[in-house]
Amino acid sequence: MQEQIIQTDVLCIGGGIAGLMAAIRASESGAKVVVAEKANTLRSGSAGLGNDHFRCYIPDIHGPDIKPNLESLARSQVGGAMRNMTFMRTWMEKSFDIVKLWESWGIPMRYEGRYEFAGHGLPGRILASLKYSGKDQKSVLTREALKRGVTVMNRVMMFDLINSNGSLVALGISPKDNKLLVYHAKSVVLGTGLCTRLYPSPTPGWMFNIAYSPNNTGDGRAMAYKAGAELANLELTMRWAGPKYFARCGKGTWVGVLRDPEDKPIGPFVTKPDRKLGDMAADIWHSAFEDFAKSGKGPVYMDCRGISEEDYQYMAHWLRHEGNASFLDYLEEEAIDLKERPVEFSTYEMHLSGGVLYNEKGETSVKGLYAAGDELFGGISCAATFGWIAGDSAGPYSCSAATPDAHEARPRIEERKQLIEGMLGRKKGPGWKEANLALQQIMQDYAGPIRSETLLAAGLSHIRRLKEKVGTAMVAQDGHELVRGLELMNLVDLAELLFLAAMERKETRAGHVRVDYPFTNPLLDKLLIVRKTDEGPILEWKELRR
Amino acid sequence: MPPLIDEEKCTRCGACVDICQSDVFSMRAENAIPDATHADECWHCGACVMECPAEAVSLRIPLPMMVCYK
Repeated sequence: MQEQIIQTDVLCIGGGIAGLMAAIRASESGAKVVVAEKANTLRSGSAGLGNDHFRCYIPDIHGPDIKPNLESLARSQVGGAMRNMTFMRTWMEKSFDIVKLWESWGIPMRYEGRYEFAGHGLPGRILASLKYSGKDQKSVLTREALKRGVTVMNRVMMFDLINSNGSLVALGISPKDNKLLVYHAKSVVLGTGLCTRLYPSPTPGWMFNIAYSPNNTGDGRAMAYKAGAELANLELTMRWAGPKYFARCGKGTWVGVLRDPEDKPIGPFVTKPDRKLGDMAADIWHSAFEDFAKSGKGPVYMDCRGISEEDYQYMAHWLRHEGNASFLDYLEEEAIDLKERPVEFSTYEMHLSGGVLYNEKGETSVKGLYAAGDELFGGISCAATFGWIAGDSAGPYSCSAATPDAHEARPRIEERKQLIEGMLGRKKGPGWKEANLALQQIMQDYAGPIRSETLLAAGLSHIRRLKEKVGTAMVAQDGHELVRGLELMNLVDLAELLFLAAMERKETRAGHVRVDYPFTNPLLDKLLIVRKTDEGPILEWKELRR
Repeated sequence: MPPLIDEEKCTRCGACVDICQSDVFSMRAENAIPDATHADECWHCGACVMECPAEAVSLRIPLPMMVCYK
């Protein structure tokens, strides 16, 4: 396999919101910046089709006191559990600057000439989600990056990060021309988004029917771990909700009421469609849909009946910007009129809500390695804000850092090359789909909604056997399958770490349900760190600075 | 299985091949109509529909994704 060396000051791994924002900011410090993107930065990842709400604090609207916004953030789905107050304050304080920047670049951040806040709202409390028209946000960010001289390399699957005596060497595959790309970077910013495809989707065997991008497979988390960085709270999981069977994010964009089959609202917040509030019931009561089904009182519907034509157009406008265009087109083709037809909602599959631990400067625990956005958790505004901040840190750092010494990375590079050549050269063996399904069934059965010491211990041994198979027997018939195979390796690595962390956290908390420890232990209100050592993974508890 | 390409409208420009984040499409030969080789990896995001300059791509939402309504 041919090898190509690429020297750069800053390497942004992942060309999503975080990666592009980091690249833009880092390039402004004079650093040479490369973005390596698995697909195409114009439409890749979870934000590729757009977003319509951006959590922020605007003093002229919210008042001079930032506290209500911080409280709202701490309570939100993207907020508090794993963040310290310095981090959250930095996020909110910087958020309006990012809004103004995006507006200056041509992303419409206003509605009918004003800043409009709506959705995810509680009656009588502040609204923190700024409505914006983000359908083409990624083409704007790509253009701004290119304008500043950033090199964007599309269709590059980054899969390994080597910490060679303090120098970072990152490995990628360009499947189209069958090349191994070896990046020597003074600093690396990880921005690969969430980790999906660990757990089965609601549709059996249909791995890609999920709400977040199915191409975000935790590559950044796996690479951070390999480079020695701390991962936090991998055992905690999150489940989103939305239209049943047609998995889409954006329930906060709906203008309707969640109701039971007798038309009774399931929550206490709204009794008729309210464009300002939406219905927070499912944000607050995560298991509502399942609880109704289990008690025989389901299903639960999102009911927009009674909505005015104006409010319906308002909702449809924002759903289109929130990446729901194909969903709306489908409703139209099937003549399903939301003004007349309540649609069932359900909870989707589990995914990780832990990940790479980065601070308010975007720094990880490894010098020169930064991370942003959904490498931990936080959604669009977090990705935009901390992408910018990570670029602000990485750019100047790289301008003064020494040229990387990649010498010691050579044995690892050779080992990885052999692994790839093995996968491509083998004639018989499991493909990535088989491996992915095997992984998903182990995750669901042994580290799924029910966890215990004995289940986790058994599951860990199964995962380790699967990992061995994936590493030695998997077959890739072409470049496409090679990319998927490398994703699988990252997923299996993370699965093993998840099992170890889930065994260590002997309590029930945030999607981590230990039936043998069915309570939340206030003494474990901490970060559970996993990191790599020469002896293998180690687990440590870390206080969360409030 | 989605997505579908209208062969009469398709100009073989390859925009759908370039844009698809799941790498669903491939062009078997220069100037060929793209083939949805990995259709089961489609996220049904609709990027190919939006980016096709000839409006030649449409999505057929498969039955397991049917929206359940009252």
